[in-house]
Amino acid sequence: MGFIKRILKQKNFMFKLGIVICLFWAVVAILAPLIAPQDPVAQDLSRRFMPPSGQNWFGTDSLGRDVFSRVLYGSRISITAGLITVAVSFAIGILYGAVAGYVGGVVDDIMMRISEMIQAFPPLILAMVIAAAMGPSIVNSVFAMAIIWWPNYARLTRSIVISVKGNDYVTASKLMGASRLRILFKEILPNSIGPLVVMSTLDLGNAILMFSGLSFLGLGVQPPTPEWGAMVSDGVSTFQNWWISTFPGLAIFTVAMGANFIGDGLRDYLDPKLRNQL
Amino acid sequence: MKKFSLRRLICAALAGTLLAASLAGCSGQGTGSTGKTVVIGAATDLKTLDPGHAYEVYANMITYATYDMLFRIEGSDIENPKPSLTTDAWSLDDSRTVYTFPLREGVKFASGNELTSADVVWSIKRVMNLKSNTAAHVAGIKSVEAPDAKTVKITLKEPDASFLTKLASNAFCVLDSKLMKENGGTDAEDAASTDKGQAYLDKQSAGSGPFKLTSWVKGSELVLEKNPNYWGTSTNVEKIILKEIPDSNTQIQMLDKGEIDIALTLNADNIAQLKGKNNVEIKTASTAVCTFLLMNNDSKIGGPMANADVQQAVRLAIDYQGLKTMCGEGATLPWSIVPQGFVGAKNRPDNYQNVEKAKELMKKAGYEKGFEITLTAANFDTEGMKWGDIGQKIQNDLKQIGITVKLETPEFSNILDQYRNGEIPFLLMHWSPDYYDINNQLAFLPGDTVGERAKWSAEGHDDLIELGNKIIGEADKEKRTQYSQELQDKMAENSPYAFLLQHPKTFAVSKTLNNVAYNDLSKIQLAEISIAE
Repeated sequence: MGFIKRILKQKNFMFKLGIVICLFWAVVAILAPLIAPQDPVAQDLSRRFMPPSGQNWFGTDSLGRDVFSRVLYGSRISITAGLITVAVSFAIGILYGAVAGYVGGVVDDIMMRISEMIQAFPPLILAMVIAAAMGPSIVNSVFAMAIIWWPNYARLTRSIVISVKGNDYVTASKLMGASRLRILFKEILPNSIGPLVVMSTLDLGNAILMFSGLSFLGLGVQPPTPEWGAMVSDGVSTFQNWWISTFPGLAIFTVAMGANFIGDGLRDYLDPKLRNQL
Repeated sequence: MKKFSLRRLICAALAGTLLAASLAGCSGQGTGSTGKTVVIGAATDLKTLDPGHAYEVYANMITYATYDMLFRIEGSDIENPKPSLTTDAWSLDDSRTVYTFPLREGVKFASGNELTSADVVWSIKRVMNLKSNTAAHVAGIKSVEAPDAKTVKITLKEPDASFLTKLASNAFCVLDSKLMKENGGTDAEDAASTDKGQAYLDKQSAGSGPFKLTSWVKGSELVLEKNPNYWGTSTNVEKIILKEIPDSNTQIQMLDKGEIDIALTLNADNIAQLKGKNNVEIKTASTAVCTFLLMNNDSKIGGPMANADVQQAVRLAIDYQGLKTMCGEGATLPWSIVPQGFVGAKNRPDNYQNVEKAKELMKKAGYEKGFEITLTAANFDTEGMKWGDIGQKIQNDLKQIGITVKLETPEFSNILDQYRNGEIPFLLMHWSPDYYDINNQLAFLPGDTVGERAKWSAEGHDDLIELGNKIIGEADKEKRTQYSQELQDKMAENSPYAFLLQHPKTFAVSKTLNNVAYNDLSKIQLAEISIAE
């Protein structure tokens, strides 16, 4: 808890703002069914394309659905998809990178070349190809994103592990007869985790953005499930009804920004040279 | 001194070049704004302009301007093709299979060559032997001959009441055979592999139409210029430019600014931006394109959807008036396979929706508690109406009778094969006729093309098939109307289809243009447009 308390005592305004934004969206996502004024999939064809008003704060879309309720519900899909993508890539990437970095030699070479093969493709295009080939659905697009995302973690983990494994405490542990697995998981990884946490926080925003991108292209969620990227796409063909795209767009913008602020703050906090300035 | 004068010379030369360039630029724009050029913005699907291969929705818009056919649709009157290259003296013998077409005198191709019956025969034979996309139009032809230089005789295998309608399409465009032979064209039996005419025809036209194609960059811009040798009367338009503008909002903005004169591919929802603008006229025309639900009649594929009671319950549960509202002004609700504009077309009765009766049918079929089914509605649209939106509406309506619809929106091209092989249980599709006659709609009969796609076999449907055969050859319009209505009444409530909407076409035109006529075959009648003086 001391860690969290120290973080909250920081003077960095952006960092706090990021935490507030992310907490806000987390609460919205959890409480969506309680706070949404209307059913997000209920159609009312007599109220199509209504501009924002007291009845529909964010207006209505082409099927007369309440955009406000849909934005609230959309947070569940988008944030969950972002979190799962980052968590899966984080887990795969760390294991992969740690093994490559710790074992070294030919194994390292082969493992890194494989991850570079994936990185050689433009990320969004590769995700589109995988998602399109597997058929559009939430699970498939999260899977597609995890596939293109983990090499980033693998590479970072590997470079940290290589620099950490020469430290005296690792040597000491080795002299005491610790097994390789113990050294890796008890000595090396705990001392490498900081930069990885920063990276995953920064990535959360990117993952939500990319997921929205896939949904925008029709490769993510299937209608009528409310999802921000798909909602932005809904409004594009009738641009004079600006509210259909604008509000989910703002939601994507704020949550991605919030995650980035937290990531930046954490990075500064974990950087000993900057810590005192916070 | 010498050096100085040289520098001055260079400066003067540069200035002169710039001045000349800017003047040239001005004059170029000048022709456009003085009212000789019409610019059209659209998102078309043009792949080729060779009339022997072209099959795309917008192909006839171009071929109608660049070629002549024996018959032609004039203005918006798609039901009654008029003699064009032939004269009113054309005749049909008593067996109703031999057509004799005397050709109009004094018709010349854009190249200056005279158009004779040899050109007509060559062009039709080429299409027959190319066996390409337009093959269906010429499939009923037994022989095509030229008894003399100004007469063409076409013999059919069977009487076909839709033959004149077929004659008015791009499959029967008359090409300049002399020019084509010089450029790799052939009408030989093996034309499918030896004909090299397509590449030539994609760069320039070889016809006798009011305009000629002067340049085409696929997916970007197409230019038509007036054919000086045209035999008929032409309007004051010298040049037509078709610009590919995929985004309809961009089309609207460009039309509003006067950069284009016609915004062709818009939809009912975004055209609202143009309402109240006094330089622009919004037009709504009818098309023959219908959206329908296909419920697979094979229970191994369709599951509960194969049950006739479930099929009727689905038809009864749909809120057609709601769909009509979504589709916008000009939308109609077809009763069955025959759209408005075709012989005997009937509309769905008002207040057809009957949820109580639908629930009873579900109970009768043994699905009182409902079931779950996947509806495939591709990521596609019909005249700007998104299939995803229609699918969500159907999903919403069927919930009332206990059917839980899971929606899938794959890319259109990804489902085409599955659709053609009849592998999809529950599908949203559209049907755009190849030619504008009820005969084309008979593909929906059991055992026919679309019938097979719904796994609806001919077995036990002799009455429907017999009616279909009567319609194909019937010459008397009253009798044909009667057969058509009988067929619709039989199929409307007893078939694996639910016809949803007949879609209108919405587009916008600058008020500087006159006589912008639209029909679903040739789209805008480019050759009929004139510019207000």
